[in-house]
Amino acid sequence: MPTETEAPVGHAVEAAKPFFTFDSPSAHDMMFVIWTWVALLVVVLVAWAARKDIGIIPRRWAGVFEHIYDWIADLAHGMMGKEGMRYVPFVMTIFLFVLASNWLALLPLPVLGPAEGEAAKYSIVVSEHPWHFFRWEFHEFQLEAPTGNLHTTLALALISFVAFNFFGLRKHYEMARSGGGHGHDDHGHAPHHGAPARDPITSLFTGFFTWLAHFIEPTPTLWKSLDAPMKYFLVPPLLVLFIGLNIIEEFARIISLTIRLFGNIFGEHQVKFWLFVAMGMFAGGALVSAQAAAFAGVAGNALLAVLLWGSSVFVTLIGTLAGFIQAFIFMVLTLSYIAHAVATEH
Amino acid sequence: MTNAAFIAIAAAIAIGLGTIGTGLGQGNAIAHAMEAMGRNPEASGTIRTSLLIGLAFIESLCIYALVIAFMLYGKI
Repeated sequence: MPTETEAPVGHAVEAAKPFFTFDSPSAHDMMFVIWTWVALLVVVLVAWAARKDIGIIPRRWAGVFEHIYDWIADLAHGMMGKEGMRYVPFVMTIFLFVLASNWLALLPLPVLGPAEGEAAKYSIVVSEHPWHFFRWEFHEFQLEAPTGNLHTTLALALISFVAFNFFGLRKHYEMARSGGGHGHDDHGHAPHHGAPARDPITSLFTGFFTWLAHFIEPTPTLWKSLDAPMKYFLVPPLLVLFIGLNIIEEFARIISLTIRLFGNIFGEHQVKFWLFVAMGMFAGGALVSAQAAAFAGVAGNALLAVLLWGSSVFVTLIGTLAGFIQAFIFMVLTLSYIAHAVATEH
Repeated sequence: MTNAAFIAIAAAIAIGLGTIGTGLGQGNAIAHAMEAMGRNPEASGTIRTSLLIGLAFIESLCIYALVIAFMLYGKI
């Protein structure tokens, strides 16, 4: 910071503060990465163990996966018609990973790992490890599931964003390549021949500009529905407005996907964690402190502790449903963004 | 009042106000969905799916406020 006492002829240049710094990841961040791998391994191992159940009549776990696949395929059909089948594997992968990591957040395992922040106050030190990397502490319910972290959910939202833009671009490229219509529509009829089929390089450019044109989206309908002199005045400012709104919507989609998933999982865990902490306080208070005994008596404290514990179990069970719904919502939104990007009005 | 006091009040107001609209909106959605299910019991599955999707959308607005409240709580 420049001092006010000395003022040389050229004023002192303030040292530039970096916009953000890369700190080395803390041990708590490392646990998120480890649990991401755990979630991936859970999905992969369950799917791998289901290999031998595959058949004309699928048995237990293969039946589960086929049921999920059929259900997502029905959704894709409802949104996009027959070409939705192309996108089902990608969307199903997202669904399975988000489901696995949402449910992993609920495990009531006393996790051995570093406690930070508020959780550190409620930890019991088991051993002081000679490494200086981190100190192992025994704590309850530390949230280390991948989707409990903004970074993972942001990564998933960015994957959806890149995916639906890529699918939109690819669809427009294919439309330009095959000359102005889809390859086949829902009933397998021959394509329209609105324009001659183009070579790959030209259709890359044509497809890109056709895809860009969807940013003006409600304007063509508006143009057609207004009368002659008025539309030349109304539509151009609305065109600019709609381009801005569409671009902002793209970013709002990323942010809403991120925060919806993170907020549900993190918030659910916080409720459970603090209920459990309160239970611990009452349970400890019944045994230890005279003030707590005067508050409600030992039996009263024990009853409160049991009620709070029951509440935390109840919240965990609700969290099962909420985790499933959030995984489903993430999947349905990704599918609907893909459907919107791939939609053509031919 | 200290800085921390303002931040604490802001966190409480953020989540408190956020849940008002969410409660009203979700109640509205569920009421209409139940009426639709009563009129047309065969379509219950479709209505239930659409209801859950709609509820998650409305819930996400409250979750935005909750995330702000957590961020403020972390800064006390």
